[in-house]
Amino acid sequence: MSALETVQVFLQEDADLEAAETALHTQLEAAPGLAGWHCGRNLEGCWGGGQFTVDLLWHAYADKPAMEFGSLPGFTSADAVCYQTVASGQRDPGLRQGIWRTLLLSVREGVPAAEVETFEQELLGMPRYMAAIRNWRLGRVTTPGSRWTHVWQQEYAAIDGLMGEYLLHPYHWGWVDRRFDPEFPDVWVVDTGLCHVFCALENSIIARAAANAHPDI
Amino acid sequence: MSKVHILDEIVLQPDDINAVLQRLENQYLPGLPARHTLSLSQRWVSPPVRLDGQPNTLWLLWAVTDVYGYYTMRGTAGPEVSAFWEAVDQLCLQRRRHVMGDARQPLPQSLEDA
Repeated sequence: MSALETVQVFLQEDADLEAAETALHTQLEAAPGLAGWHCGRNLEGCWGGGQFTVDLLWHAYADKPAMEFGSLPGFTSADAVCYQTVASGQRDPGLRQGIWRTLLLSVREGVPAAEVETFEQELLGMPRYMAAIRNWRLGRVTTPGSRWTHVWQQEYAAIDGLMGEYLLHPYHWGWVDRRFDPEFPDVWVVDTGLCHVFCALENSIIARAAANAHPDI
Repeated sequence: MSKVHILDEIVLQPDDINAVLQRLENQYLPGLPARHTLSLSQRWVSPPVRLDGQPNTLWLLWAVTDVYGYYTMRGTAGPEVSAFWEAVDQLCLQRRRHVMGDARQPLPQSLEDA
């Protein structure tokens, strides 16, 4: 079974990003068992994440090794999670030169499973209202002990889609956001600590995973 | 961009109304200057009368400058906010929060229905 993994790579504040990026690419190109990967430098405006977002698509047959990033120049830590797709969708599988956005979130302990499913469907409803979300994928984290429970990813044609329609649409601030806000006592389900990151996207990651012809991606 | 309004609906015994209002003044409102996009517009109670064996509902209406201000408001909530609501929850019977837009604006629909 293919496995999806996303990694936040944290470096020292004064790390040489160019050197780290080059080393990351070299390492990923040589890694056995990968059907695909993407490495993006997190852009200004991200919070809760590292300097790089690395996405890995492991071959179904691969005995997935834990990828080590310790040799990167300026490396401090990595936060890696594997996840299983709940649902995904594509409006623009040929998307190029876009924006890749990743939200790592954690549903609070004790939230009933039915409520979690309702929340997941509310998240997945966002593309139904927002044309700027070109491709999307929601996953449940499978890595034991991870602080995160879900990975919510979207692809945009441009940063304006994320900073504009995505933020400004009433479905977001007037509906889904309540799930993230402790001031809503009856519907709050997500811990306040989040990882919100976005980076440049050369080609659609979601379309590439789907083209790998696995029912789970 | 038009204002966003938030309405807190707090069901409580009439004897507890003043306690909540005092906590609002002393605990929540002092944090508003730091949350500069949020302001308290109204404090109402319904029914506006004490009835035997019946709770009242306290309604707090808040105004947020605009949608970007909504996210600013969300990101500037300090520990006093959760402390306030924890205290209110000890006093009230039921509580809900509503986020509201201008009713004169057409409701956005899903892209399939539009």
